[in-house]
Amino acid sequence: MAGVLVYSDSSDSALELVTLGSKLGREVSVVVLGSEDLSDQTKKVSVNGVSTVYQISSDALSNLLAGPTVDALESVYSRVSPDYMFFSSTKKGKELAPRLAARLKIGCITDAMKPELNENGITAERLVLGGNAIATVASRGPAVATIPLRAFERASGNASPNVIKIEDFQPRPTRTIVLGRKEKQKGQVNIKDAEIIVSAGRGFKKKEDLAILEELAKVLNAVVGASRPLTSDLGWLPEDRQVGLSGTTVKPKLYIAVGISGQIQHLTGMRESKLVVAINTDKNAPIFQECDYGIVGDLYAIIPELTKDLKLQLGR
Amino acid sequence: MTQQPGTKEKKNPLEIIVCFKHVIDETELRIDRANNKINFEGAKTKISDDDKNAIEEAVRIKEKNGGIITVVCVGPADAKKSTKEALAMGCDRARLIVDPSFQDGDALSTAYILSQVVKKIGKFDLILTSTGTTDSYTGIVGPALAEYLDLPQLTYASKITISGNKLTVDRALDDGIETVECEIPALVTVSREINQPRFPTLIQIMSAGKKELLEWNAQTLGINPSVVGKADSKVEVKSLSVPKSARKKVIFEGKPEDAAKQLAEALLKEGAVK
Amino acid sequence: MILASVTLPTSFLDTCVQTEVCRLKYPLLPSDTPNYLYSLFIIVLAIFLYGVYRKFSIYKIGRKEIFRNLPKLVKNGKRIIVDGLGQKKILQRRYGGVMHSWMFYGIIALTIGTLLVGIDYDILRPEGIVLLQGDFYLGYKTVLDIFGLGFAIAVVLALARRISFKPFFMGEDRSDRFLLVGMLYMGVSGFVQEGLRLALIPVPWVYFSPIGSIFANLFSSVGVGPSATSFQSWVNTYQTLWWIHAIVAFALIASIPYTKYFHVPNSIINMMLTDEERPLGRMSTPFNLAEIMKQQETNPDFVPDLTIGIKTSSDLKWDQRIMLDACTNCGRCEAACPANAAGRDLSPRLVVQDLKNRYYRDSKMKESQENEDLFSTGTIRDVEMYSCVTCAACVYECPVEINQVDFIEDLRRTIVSSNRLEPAQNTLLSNLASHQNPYGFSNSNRSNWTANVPDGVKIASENGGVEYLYWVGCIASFDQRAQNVARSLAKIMKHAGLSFSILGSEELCNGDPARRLGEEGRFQELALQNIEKLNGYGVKKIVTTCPHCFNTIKNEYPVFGGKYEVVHHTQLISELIEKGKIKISEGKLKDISVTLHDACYAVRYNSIFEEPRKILKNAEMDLREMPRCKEKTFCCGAGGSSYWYKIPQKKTITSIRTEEAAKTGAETLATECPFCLTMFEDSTKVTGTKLAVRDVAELVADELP
Repeated sequence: MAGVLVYSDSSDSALELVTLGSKLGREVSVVVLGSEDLSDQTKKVSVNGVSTVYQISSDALSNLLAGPTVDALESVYSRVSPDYMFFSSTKKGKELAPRLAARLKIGCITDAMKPELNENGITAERLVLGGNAIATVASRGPAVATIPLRAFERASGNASPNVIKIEDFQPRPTRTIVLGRKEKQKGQVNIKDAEIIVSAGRGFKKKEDLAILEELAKVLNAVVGASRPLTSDLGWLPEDRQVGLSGTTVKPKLYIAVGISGQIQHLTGMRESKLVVAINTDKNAPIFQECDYGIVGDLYAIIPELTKDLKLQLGR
Repeated sequence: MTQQPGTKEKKNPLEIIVCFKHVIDETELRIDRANNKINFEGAKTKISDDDKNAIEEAVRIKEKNGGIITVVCVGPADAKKSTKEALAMGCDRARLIVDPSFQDGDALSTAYILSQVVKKIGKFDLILTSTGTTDSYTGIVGPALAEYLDLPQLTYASKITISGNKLTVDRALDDGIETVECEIPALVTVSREINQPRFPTLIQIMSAGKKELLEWNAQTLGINPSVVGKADSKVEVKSLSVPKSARKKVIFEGKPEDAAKQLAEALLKEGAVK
Repeated sequence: MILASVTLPTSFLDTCVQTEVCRLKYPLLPSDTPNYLYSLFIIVLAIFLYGVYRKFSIYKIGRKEIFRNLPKLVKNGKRIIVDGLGQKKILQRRYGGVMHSWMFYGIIALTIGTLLVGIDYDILRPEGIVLLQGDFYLGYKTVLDIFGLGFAIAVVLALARRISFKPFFMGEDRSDRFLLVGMLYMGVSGFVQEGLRLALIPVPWVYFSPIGSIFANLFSSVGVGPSATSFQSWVNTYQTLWWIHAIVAFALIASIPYTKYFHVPNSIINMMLTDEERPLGRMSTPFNLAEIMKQQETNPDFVPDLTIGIKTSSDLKWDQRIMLDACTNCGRCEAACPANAAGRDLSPRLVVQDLKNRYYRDSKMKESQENEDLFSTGTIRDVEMYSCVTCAACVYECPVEINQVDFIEDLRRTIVSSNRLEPAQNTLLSNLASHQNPYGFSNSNRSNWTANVPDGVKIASENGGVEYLYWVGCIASFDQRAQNVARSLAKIMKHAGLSFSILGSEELCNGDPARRLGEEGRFQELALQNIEKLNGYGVKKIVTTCPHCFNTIKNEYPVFGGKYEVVHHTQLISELIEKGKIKISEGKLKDISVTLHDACYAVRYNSIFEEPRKILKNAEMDLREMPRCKEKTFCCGAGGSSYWYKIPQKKTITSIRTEEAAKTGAETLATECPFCLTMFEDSTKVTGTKLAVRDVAELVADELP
């Protein structure tokens, strides 16, 4: 029985994929790639459930650009001939999986939720049509899949898997070079692309009170948004922070509406958020019809508590 | 060939190919939660949202560097409406690929068909696609197409600059912006933040008929129907179901500290915070 | 010699002075004066006519157009008499109104007076007829003196305002002060000359010239008289003054087609060209979508060849050029403009002035040269166009009948055709295109508001034979606050026993936001679909709660084949009260203080202002009007699709109006438009203003059991 091969650009998420492989009852091999000494990475992924770690170290892999990375993964794949290969659903993972699948002429499932094996291949669920529907998809035979982050616990324990260094890796020639890299700046405000938004509404009584929300935003690496009255009418926040039809339409992964009743203006601008949290004193506020989680209560009491809890849990 | 005013006519104008998908408008679907059914009858269609960013970017590159844009769509016959819209946005000519054997294929199959379309078009300097389409959001077509055409893939572009043969792209990655450079031809997938697509007027769309719109099929492309579409799909959709509720509407009540704690836990469990 | 010594014909003088009341022919002037005068006049006329010719060639007006449109002079005669001769719009502002109308009537009177003199001297007297004699002459003198005084004072008022307390909204042309000084000279020198003449040739009826006699007495007191030794030198002075007066008058006449004076013929032409068939609330229709679609059906390759909007000055048609050139830079539009008051980048005055200056500048270019884009040259700016709330306050104010909003809406079409919209505006259009409502919600949710209506509301597709179709509109369908207006009207109609239905999920946006934003195609697409539905159900009467829906269906749809009897809900409710079908007097509303915000699209576009007041008065409410009420209403800030996007401003239009409403001391702010309602309610919440914002329908519905 061939096993599964896992690769992720982050060792932590590779460990989640190891858990998945073990859960599926397969032998798990992990690929580590880089341009320098890979012993640290190898050590990180030497956990229970991992049978083999494949290392390729090459100058061509210094930036893990798609071309050489796919070449490297192909060379491991052809050596291992696994049934399945798993990537994390990171941006890097999602650009590698399809290209590798196309090269290997096998199936590809991205953002696979609840992956399971059947006699022919892999079955998984995918959110489609803007989250309106769940598609159950199945591969015919071997496939690669990308798995959403945090879907599985990280595998742990100290183990001593086989470590195989592939020395004869020959990437295809490429002329793509990296000119520079700019780390994401913390606190950089771009509400349109923000992954987490905490938004303030009329529940706040004074401009100064927004400080408690900013504190929460800091803990979550979130951007502070606002409903129309706070930006246009009161001017507590600049106009570019306004979420709503006449402001910016956002679709973050998490949207926390604090003291926002949920006028249609506002709802239209945030309804495509993946997860919506509402905190408001009025339990009849329309926002509670549009939220995944809600707290009916005084934001002045709740927000500091929430900030404290999250700070603790996230270790910040 | 219509040349938009303002473009500099050069000896070798930049040849841009941009691909889009004609999709069901997911925001206008009638969903029957009680019966776990989606009513597709009379469903509205559109150019996939993110694909509009790719088209817009192609037009902006043309406005800056000059060039000719060919827009390509593999889809049903009624994708003509969307194709006209793409032309109205500023593309110069269109290839609409319609063939019954192309239906219901997986994304890799679509990428393969597109690769054959590109080969038939022949000359090109740049291929633009979106990162994913609003219907299924697999994100497969771009990288797979690059693979089939053996092109460098520059994904998640938030900025594209072309100067001579040099293509520079800012890639919006999870942890920051990476600037990469390569020589054309290449394939770039754009991210949504790259631009704000223009919205052509109805009259502009209705007037797009004056531009070249060719319909191609398996025969024109010389594709054997058995290697594409449903026949060759390596991944198939088994079923569609409706999530129980659009929103969970879990309300925590009680003391602020308890409610806050429950919320924090829920958020961690959802993986919404990290 | 023009100046010459004169010997007065003693006999004539004697008879004239003592026995016969009449005006002397060219008094104190040599007999060949008319020769010089009329020669000079011919030159003046030539300069004048050349100027007119030049104007008309800049306007690009052909002879055909002149003749074709002459009948409209009769058709719009009433408007020309009331607004023009009657100075109706001028008098809407007090200082400027009084000033201008005295100047206007003064000039008319003095011109007629002078013409009479010319007719008398040079046409009638050679035939032996003396016109200016007897009682008629005495009356003539008094009337002219009064108008002359009024004229002179008005000119002084104008000069004083321009020099020392010029209002912020008023523009200034280079020639303005010269023209005023010229006119002031005319007024004052007229009296001085009259006084000098009366001093030199005293007459017993001197006091029939009340102002002239003052000057005559002044001259007499310094020794000027017929028998004085200085007689001849005073005659020379008189002659010099007379000629200067004539030359200044001629210069002013010659300057008419070169200066602001041309606003007179231009405003008359504006009034004449007014299309009586086209209500103010109807925008121009640059193409007919139904026809294009029909063409494309038979020939799929058919491509409409259209120029939409105003891209360069060459797109300005002759009538638009005349309209723009009528502008006197008075700035009344700017003073009334809510967008300008909010500190947005818009002055309707400057839009007109900039367009006018641009086409004048472009008219100097060679034929072969293409005119430059109005936008890329910065003549017109996108943000300027979208600052407008299309409230038509400027149109209401404009004394020369310019329709500023028409230009702005046309220019918006150019921006839309150039695909230069802001993200929020694009979202609006794409929502209208794919969801047929501005919110982007599914139309299947349209009748959600009926859930709380006892016994529900009938849907047109299931119920024929009802009297009214209630056109709910998107905001009252989807917005939680505005839904209550719909419920209130439903309650009222049910109480009054009216049969009505709604279109429910078949209702689409009426298209107004698309049209006002400048996307004509999407508007017509929506309009055609709605009209097909309405006609399909045989709808005759429509009631709306939204003045924008009201205006569109009433004024725009007829062009596209949708002809219905449309009433605004305030009209319907008022009628129901009158007919005794509902009773709201002696109820909870009695003596509650209220102020009413007239919605722009109800009052200015459709002259609805009596009905809502009747309702409030019938409820015995204590109505406290805001300073800007009825046609002078301000704006809530949402009109012309402004509700859907943001524009840089110093202060919101809404808050300015909320403040004005609060100042009346009323407890309730009554509205008649769901957009106004939500705008003001948000604003009162934000500013903590103690004003209950309620639609008139809500107030009434609460009075009903």
